[in-house]
This record gives sequence, structure tokens and C-alpha cells, in this order.
Amino acid sequence: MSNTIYPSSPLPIRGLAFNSMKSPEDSTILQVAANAATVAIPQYIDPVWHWLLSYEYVMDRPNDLATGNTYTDYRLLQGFWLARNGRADDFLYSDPTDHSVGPALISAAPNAQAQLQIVTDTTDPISVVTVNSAGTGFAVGDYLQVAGGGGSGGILSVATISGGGGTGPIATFNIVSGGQGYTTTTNVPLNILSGTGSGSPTANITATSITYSPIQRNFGGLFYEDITDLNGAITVYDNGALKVLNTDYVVGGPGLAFPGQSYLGLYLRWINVPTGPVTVQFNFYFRVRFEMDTVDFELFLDQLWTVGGENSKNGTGYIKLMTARAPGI
Amino acid sequence: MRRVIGGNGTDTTAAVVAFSRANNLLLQTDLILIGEIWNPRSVFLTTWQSALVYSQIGTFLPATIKREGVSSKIGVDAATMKLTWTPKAIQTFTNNTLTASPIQLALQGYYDNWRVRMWRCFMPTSGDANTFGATPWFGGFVSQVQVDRGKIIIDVNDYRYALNYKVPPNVVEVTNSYSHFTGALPPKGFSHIPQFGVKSPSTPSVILGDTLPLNGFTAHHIFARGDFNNPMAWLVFNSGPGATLAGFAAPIGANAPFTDVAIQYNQFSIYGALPWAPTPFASGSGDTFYVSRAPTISQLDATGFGDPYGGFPFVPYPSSTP
Repeated sequence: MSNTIYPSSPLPIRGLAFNSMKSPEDSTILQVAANAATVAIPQYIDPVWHWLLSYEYVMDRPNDLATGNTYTDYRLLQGFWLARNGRADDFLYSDPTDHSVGPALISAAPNAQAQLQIVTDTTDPISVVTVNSAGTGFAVGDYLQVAGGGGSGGILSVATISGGGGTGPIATFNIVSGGQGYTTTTNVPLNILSGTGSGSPTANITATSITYSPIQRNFGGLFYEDITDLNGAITVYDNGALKVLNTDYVVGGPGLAFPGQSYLGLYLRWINVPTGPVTVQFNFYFRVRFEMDTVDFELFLDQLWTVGGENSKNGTGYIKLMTARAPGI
Repeated sequence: MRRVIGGNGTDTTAAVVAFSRANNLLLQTDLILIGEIWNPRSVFLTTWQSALVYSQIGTFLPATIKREGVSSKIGVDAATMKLTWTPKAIQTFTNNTLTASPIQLALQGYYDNWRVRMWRCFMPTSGDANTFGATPWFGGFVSQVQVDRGKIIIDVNDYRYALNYKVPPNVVEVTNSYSHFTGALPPKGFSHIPQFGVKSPSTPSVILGDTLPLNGFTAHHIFARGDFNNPMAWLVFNSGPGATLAGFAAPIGANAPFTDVAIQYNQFSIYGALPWAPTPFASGSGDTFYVSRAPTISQLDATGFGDPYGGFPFVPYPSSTP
């Protein structure tokens, strides 16, 4: 898995044909009875996208380099393919016709086409945790279970320890799982799940509802699609007022799940509950991989290659990309 | 239909049935747990596109996993299921089980004999694994783990595999009738098995019973608190007119007298809830059950026919035991 960016057109690679194809793929199990009664079982919601890219020409002329390039277009594109090992590695692709959401405001009013959903985890998970009694002998990465506070499912890991060395008293925690049903409490006992720590560590926990806005793009006002990779910063407005990263919200993910909700993309985690509507503007990438392990670059003139252009005669005619979805475990 | 349990522990079977009848588009997915809930290295997997929270169990992460179909059949033949899991490729080999790659752990036998459970989750909307929840789909233990290039192939035997274990005769005494099948054992001090009629308000996990005037017992006979405590006794429902739980059995966790207005009954708390509350027995119709005391496990406690020793008086030398 890499964050390498596909060399798009017109820079750094020239010659992308206009007639590229883009197809969404869903997967549905369809049970059809003899009386034509049908039950459909979708296997996933966010589509798998497929792109067919053709290049009228791909230059290999050292004296005719695109602005900012030190290699010819052909060597950049071919080299990119080789570096990915065909289908092996995934990468980021900025679709020239589908890569941005926004503007967040139109004439200072929230743009409904750039609006995000607001969802709230009301199960009172642990949102903040600090050390009360540090214990001894803990190492970074040790797991502890929150045994009090009225809730369940809270799992912490040791983020930092005090005093240097490999083991010691706990200084700070990471929240591995916030659990649910907790109340803000001090001196909550912790069960040691892993490591050699001891000394009855306890923590102070804050449990509150947490409000999120999954980062999605609204396709035609009909379908919210999760965004997994941003291209640059995201600008966020709440009811027309600009919000500040790390002051009003933080960006998390990809992947968000709490009881009743599940998203595979990035999300905003609100520090202060938004008023709404939340509107945003950002550019995004699709995370993709090549769909085949072979690609045909056809030389039709001296130092001029084509992939499926009108001069193509013998090649397959396209570069195929498809959505790459990484597992969570 | 299998019983579906929501994320908050309630029975949502009726709601799932109603939803299925009213809609022809169903969102379903598998939730697979390898290991125990409390183990930080347990593996929570789902075939859905994103993580799902099923509060009864935990958070399941999207995984590259395939499985064979699960068959359901009458009988005690153990079923097996083959899971093929390809963990994320970025994990490395380490010398710490907490951070080791699953492939490394599989190679070292870390997952051997781990419990594997699978649920079928029903979602009213995409990503909501809690409202309807899930129904148990398969359960068993890891019997074999193979590691192939980039994947872990896990064979899982279902729980009934324990019934397939053959014990050589020189381990099990042929003269020990209690090591074979035995019927019910009367309560201590009695020579017959008491029969009970169910009384209201029984629930799936707390059963109220009034002794039937049979086998030397009078009606309303009350057993002392703890007469059927550990070693666990068993409560078994009979067939008959109006019986709804014929054949169901459950181990008894505790028993005590229970007073309903002026009448005392026997109250049994059982391990593992029944699928539904038993029907009160009245006018010859309804659920009835008998209770069997477990055999005494200490020879010193056994006092005779009514209180027999149910263990092995002669334990074979360990080196001769296969």
C-alpha cells in the first residue's frame, strides 16, 4: 500500500484521450424464485470503480519534456507501472473529472451539494483518559481494560511511560476502544491485559457523546460515498462559519464504527458539537490499483507511443484501474 | 428461524422476520471471532466493507476472508468449516506475541484449539449491526491451521466434535455404570426422581416447579436451598399434553424455595436460557420436568444407593493412559 500518486494528465503525462471510461461496480446476490419473486442481498455499499484510460500519444522525446519533468512521459508512465508491480501495489489517482467537493459556501450560504452528515455516538464511550495511579513496570503498547466507570468494552494501551527506559509508570494512554455506557469518573480501576506491569493502575475517564461527520461526497444528491484519501487540506464550515482544525475538529480514519453506524472513509471528529449544516471543500484521491498485470504500450512513430489511441493496431488499448480497498486487519 | 439477538441483548427475531417479509432487499454479513472476547490478540473479522460494532461481542474489522458453506443437519456428526484469511500485508515478524504478524502466530501454533464463532448479522441500514444484531451461525474449535503464501487456512470443528472422541476401554472402567449413560439420580435421601409441573411466573432462565404427587412425592414438596447446586444437577423437560419444551435440558445453577402468595414452589436457576418461557402446567396440560442430581464426585461423600459415587474408584497409572 503506498501513497504514490498516479501521473495524471496533462501534467506530468500528456496525451490522455478524452474517451476514457468510468464504471461503478456493485455486488448483489440475487435470489429469484420460480414465481419471479426476488430477494436482493448487496455485498457492499460503496461501489468499486473501474477506469479505462487510453493515451493518444505518449512521448519518449528527451528534447520535449513536459514542464517540470526530468524524464520523458513514456518513461514516467512505464516506470510508474513497473514500480507498482502491475496489480501488486495500490496508489492514489486524481480523476481529472471527479476529484473535488465544494465550494463549501455559495454567496456566503452553505452549499447543500457540499454538505456532510452529522452522526453522534450516544453510547457514552470514553473520550478522554488520563493517568490517576501510574503503576509500575509497564511498556509502551501494553493493553489495559477499563474495569469501572459503569461501562464496558473500554480498552486502553500505554502510549508513553515515565522516567525513560523500556518499562516504568504509565504517563499517557491511547484509547484503543472507547467502549460504551461509561460515566465521567476518576480513579477507575484498570485490568492488565498484557505485559508485565503491576501496581493497580487507575485512570480518570471522561465519557461523552461524540459527534462525527464522515467525509463523503454527495453524488447527485442521492448517494453518499466515503472518501478515503484527501488531496491536501479540507476546509470546514459549520452553518457558514469557518472551523479550525484541532480546535473545533480533528480528522480521523479511514474507518469509523460505533453502534449503529459504520463508514470506511475519513471523518471529522468534532471537539465542539456543530450547529449544522456542515459544509466542506476539499480535493480527494481514489485509492486504486492496476486491474491487470500486463499493459501494452505501442510504438507507432519514432519516440511516440500510444495506449489505445487511434494509431493503435495491436495493443489491448487501455490502462485499467480499479478501486483498491484495504482490509482492516 | 434462528434466534437473533440485538446489540443490547434483546431478542429481535420477530423484528427481523417482519423486516424480511416487508422488504426484498436484505443487508447481511458474517461476523467471525477467533479467540475470546477478553483476549487482546483475538481476531474480530467481518466480510462487510467497513468495521461493524455488535455491542454484544465487540468491533469487527473488515477482512479478506473466505469460508466454506455451513451445513445444518440432524444428528451428532461434527461439521467442519474451512476459513481462509489473508491478513494485512504490512505486518512483520517480531518476538512479541502482542505485535507479531498473524501469519507468524499461525505458524507457531498460537491459534491451535482456539474457539471460533461466527454470527450472521442482519442490518436494517448499511453499517448498523446493533439494531437487529446477529444470530449464532457456527461455533467450534480450531483443529488445524495451514499457512500458505499470504494466507492462513483454518479448519474449524464444531462443538460436537467432542462427542467423536473415542476413549479406550482401559481408561474408562467397563464396570463403572456412571461413566456410561445413566438416567436421572434422585435427590439426596430419596429413592425416586421428582417430577414437577411448571408454575407461573417462570422465565427462560428461572423455572418455578411444583412437585407432582408421583413417585412417593407429595404435591408442594419443597427441596432445601442448595440441594441441586454444584456439582451441577440437570433439569429436563418431559413430553406430554401441552408441552412446549419437551426434550430441552439445562444444568441447574442453584435452587431455592419460592413463595407465591401462600404457596411455596421450588425455584431453579439454570445455566443457558431456554428458547422461550415454559408453559405453566394446569389441568393436565403444560410443561413438566424432572430434576436429576449429579453423581457425587468424592468417594468419601457417597453413602449408598441413594447417594452413589459416580467417579472412577481406580484411576489408571498416567503412563498407561493413551
